Amino acid sequence: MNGKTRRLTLWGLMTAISLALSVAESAIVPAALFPVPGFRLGFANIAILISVYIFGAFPSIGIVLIRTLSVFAFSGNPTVFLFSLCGGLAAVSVMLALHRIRRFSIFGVSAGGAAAHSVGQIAVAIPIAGNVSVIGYLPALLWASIAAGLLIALISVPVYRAVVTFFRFRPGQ
Amino acid sequence: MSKENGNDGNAPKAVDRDPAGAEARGSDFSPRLSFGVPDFLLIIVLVMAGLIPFVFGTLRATKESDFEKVAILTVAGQEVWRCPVGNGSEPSEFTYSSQEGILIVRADKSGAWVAHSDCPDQICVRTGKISRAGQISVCIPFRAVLRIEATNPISDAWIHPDGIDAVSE
Repeated sequence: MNGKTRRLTLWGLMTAISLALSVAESAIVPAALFPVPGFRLGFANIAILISVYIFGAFPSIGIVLIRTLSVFAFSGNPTVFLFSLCGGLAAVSVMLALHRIRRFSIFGVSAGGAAAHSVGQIAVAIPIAGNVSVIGYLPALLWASIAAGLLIALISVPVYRAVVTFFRFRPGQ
Repeated sequence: MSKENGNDGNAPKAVDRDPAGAEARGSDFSPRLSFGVPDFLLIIVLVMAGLIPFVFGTLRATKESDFEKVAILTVAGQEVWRCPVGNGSEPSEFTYSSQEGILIVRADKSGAWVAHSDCPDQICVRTGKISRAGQISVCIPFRAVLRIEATNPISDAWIHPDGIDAVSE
């Protein structure tokens, strides 16, 4: 396999994994476990975070778009689609930006992305619900998502090392 | 585990090139994988950002005793139902239906809650009963917000009962 094929294979794999993790999380982790309404751990972000490190901007945004579109194909609710699209794009953009600055470790990048996810969702929830009071969800959601972001980074570090070793990837390529 | 097995089993090519070497050759940038001071500062800033809604007073703390409370259901910003909650309020139920299905909200003297929703995620139902002024229960698929609002009984008396209308007529 040459580098390009390997990249494409891994990218497809990452897209599939992010979708699978997203579905598996809803099945395995009961949402009632957390007292914060609407909060999820966001295991799909393991794949997004790793692809930010391995592939860079466009492939990572591509994974987010494919994932949200696939979930939309199953749910069919345009409001929910808009909601998850804005959260996902906000998260991946901030992850890419923080990664590019090169000052932050994968923990900062992940926590920043998670925070952007909740801010993005609240920002789009205000026009969707037509009600500013939705912002009342922000503090709890933001704090919970920062903790989740750190957890995602903790999981991603060994996964990232394994992927780089196994696929012989050069970071920042 | 399975990754290592796969590596040993089917890819002799993978062994003859040192992955760490490839990593080092590829770029002058080696990703930071351990928690550092900038991360800590970033997280402090993000946690502080969560306080912004409090600063703007959206989550105002109201003295419960000074106010009467109402539960208000809005859909896409339009109020569709309003019901007083508090001592002496009768239990009440409202069903909102749209193409998404139905959304049932209930209220009694102790608060208001989404009793049933046809939405897939059930976030609104799991939010449970809300009772304090400023609390909300949101259902994004319905674009619905159930919230508790404090109404000042004094100003209510001015707007509401017969007094003012009687004078103006």
